[in-house]
Amino acid sequence: MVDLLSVLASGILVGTVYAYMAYGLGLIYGVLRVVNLAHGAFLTLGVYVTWWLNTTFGMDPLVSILITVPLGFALGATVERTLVFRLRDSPPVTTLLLLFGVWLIVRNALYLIFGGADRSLLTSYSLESLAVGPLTLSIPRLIVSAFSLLGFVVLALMLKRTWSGLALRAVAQDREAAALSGVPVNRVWAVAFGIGSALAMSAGSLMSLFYSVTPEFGARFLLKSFCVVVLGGLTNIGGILVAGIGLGIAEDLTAFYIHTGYRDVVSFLVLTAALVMRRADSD
Amino acid sequence: MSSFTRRHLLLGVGALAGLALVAPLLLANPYSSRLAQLLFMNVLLASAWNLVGGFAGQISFGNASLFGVGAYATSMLWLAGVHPFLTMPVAALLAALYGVAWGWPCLRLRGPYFAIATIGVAEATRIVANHIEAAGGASGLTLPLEQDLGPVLLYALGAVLAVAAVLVSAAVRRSRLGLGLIALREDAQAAAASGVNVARQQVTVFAVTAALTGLAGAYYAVFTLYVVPEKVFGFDLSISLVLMVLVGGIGTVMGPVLGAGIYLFLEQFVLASLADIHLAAFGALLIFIILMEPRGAAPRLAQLVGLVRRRIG
Repeated sequence: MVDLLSVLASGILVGTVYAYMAYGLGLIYGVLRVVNLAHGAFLTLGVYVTWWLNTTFGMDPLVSILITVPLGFALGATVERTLVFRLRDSPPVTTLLLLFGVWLIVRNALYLIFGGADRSLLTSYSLESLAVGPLTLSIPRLIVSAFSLLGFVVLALMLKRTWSGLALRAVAQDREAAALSGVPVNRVWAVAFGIGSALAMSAGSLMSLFYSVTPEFGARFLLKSFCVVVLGGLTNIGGILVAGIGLGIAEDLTAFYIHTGYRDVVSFLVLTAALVMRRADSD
Repeated sequence: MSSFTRRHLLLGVGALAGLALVAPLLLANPYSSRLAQLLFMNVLLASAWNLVGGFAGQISFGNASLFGVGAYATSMLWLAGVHPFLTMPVAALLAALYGVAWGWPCLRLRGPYFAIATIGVAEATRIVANHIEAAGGASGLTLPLEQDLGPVLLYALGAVLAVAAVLVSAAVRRSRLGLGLIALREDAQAAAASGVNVARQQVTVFAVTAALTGLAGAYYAVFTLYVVPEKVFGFDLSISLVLMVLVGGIGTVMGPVLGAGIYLFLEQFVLASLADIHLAAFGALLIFIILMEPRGAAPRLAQLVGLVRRRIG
């Protein structure tokens, strides 16, 4: 029983991070109808920037969010302006391939700068844990989970309460109607890609607290992000949160009761099943 | 098959005769024979991918899962004492079965959804393959070096497989099935409304793709004598196919052949000297093609041939 409870608890904690990491992908798809295959690149970049700031200047990973958010926004908006924008009328698969090219370039750049070795960082609270009844919860995971939830609240408020949020939602709903009502669609696209990338890079900052990183880091988490957004509904904040937690729990249950090696198989199978079933619904 | 004309047969025989003529040149040393083997394998893979990726516009990032099944089927049967030639039909069949098993549900998806689903399937397959101890687990299988078929036989086998794949591709392109796929790519709803059985046609062609990709895997196992999950089920393999076809010309019969050659040339001669920026070079190439030449090299080549013909005529 205690085993099951602690598996569930750790699944929930990881799941909130999954949800936060996936949200940018869903936002970009919702507004631009573009599958951001470079999402993994931004996640990985976020971890490396955080690692570098920590090992060079001793900056706390949570403080480095103040840097990864604007950096991610700038990089994402630039990619949208220089590359994605040119393909705005092409079939979605071409943009997907284009962004895959971006990912390859970023991966290569990371190999050149940081090498292929595993990098991980250690903070004063990395190994701390908190006893709650019979459970032992890791402090970094609790912090990261809390920050993810906070990020969600900020985002939800932004989308609901601000003019930019309204413009984003308008374009997501109907691009032409939004353009006709005077929404600067081109700018909204760049902003959405920027926000999506900022979310991914800051998710990288959070994940640096308990994952080590190589330039290949992004691939695994890109697929998990897909899984979460497809399961949760592309731009549905609540749905994404539930889907992230669901995936976290399913993975931890598999790792604990079946085989640790099969942890990632769960997300891939759930992803494919979710895609196929979602499509069957709409038919 | 009515769409498979006598002209195709003649072209096929001609191509094989041509390949037989240049054989002494390519079999001159181990390196050149390896290049020929890789070229045949690439042609097979790219033509197979193009059947569904090009004609139907369903971009698969998961063909490594089919390649791996073929490679492992041949390796395991060979190790059990079956002659490698006899293992090949089994490899093709198993790959086709596996392809249908996941293609049947996934091909109902379109565009980016299908592409993402294929990544999921292929990655799941790779992880499971790493954990099957009977198949050597993560360290893979080493095949008996002393039973190597030798460069001449391998060359002949590869040539036949590659030419057959191109002929299949030409036949599909001209068949009712191929036309249905192209209609589907252009407008799925209109195709369905005009009586194209969208789901069944795609699955049928995907079974062919899978069988050919499985054969490529079997051929790979036979000439490298070593299979390991990270390579034969790897994502990099799936990506290289997409690149080959895009470079050559997607949705054409000769595009994948051209692309397979260009890719091999780039990989062996250009990128070998740029090992450090290998990935970035591929990324930049991909971006360049998509932004500048989305139809690949084949139409350009056709233009050039037309120009030369007009000059001569």
